[in-house]
Amino acid sequence: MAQANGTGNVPSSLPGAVAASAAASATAAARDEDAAQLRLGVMEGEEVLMISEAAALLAKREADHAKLGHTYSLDVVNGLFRPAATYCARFDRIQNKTAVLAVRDTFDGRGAELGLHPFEVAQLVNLMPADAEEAKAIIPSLREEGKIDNDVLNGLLMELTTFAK
Amino acid sequence: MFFLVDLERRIHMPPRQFNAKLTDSLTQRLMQEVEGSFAGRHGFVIMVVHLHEPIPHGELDHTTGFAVFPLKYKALVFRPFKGEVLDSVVDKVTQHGFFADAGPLKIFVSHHLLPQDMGYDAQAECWRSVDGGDLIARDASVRLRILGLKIEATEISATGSVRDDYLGTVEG
Repeated sequence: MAQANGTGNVPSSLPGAVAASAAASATAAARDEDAAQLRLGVMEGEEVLMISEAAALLAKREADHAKLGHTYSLDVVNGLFRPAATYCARFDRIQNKTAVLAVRDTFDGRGAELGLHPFEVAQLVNLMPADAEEAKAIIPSLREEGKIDNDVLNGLLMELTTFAK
Repeated sequence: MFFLVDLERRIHMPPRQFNAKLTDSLTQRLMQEVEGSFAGRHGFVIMVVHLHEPIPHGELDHTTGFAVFPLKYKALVFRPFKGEVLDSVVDKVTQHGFFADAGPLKIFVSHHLLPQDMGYDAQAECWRSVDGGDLIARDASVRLRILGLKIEATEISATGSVRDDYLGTVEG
């Protein structure tokens, strides 16, 4: 069954009761999650992607689709493609593809050195707070005692702005 | 937040597809079945990024004659969290608050969770602050915090708040 193999898929063909109970347990699991305290539940340890990276993947997919000469639009078969692609393009705050790679390269290392969680690093890049005070307001896990010094965080944000649009 | 996750899906293939193009057919079928779907606790499956090789051996289902392939693949998913701050686009404004979209996710922000100095302008169908500094209207970019998530069988609904420092309209 889909539930047992860890995919968490809830196929529409499942009897209603099973689907409903799967959804109920998913909601219960979600209640224990809290991004403000880095409690990511089932997503803990999964590879976090910045909006700019998702934007690049989606753009590439669209280009490939066109190259294959399909006469139908991707939107016909995948109702989430356009909303996701539009969203990512709108909030991609990094200059260009090269800069995105550079940000990933630089901030994976810097983040790990500073003891930041990949989720926090992606939040910093996605939201581009102007300074440490703003960063700690919108990413509460950064406020934890001894987590990161304001001066260090300001330095990191300064570095990040060199890649911004 | 977007993630790359490894997922599995059992794909059923009819015998007429058992030919040299089977891998292509499986890939196509997988994309059709999972892309744009909702994977419960993993969130929304936006797209299949790649199929893990080698393709597993299919197993015949004696009741249908179809072969079943347990395909493992990497997917781009969007998974919101309670407590997460994200940017959204206002879709609809009412006197009760507003609805915004963050990609595939719909978020409702009640007027109780707007900054206290904001009032509803029924003429212009928007919320604006008394000093005129902030304006929440259709298509505005708004930074909000997710307060609650309800995961249903086929969708997630979310509630959010803009009542905090550094939340509200943003560039984008």
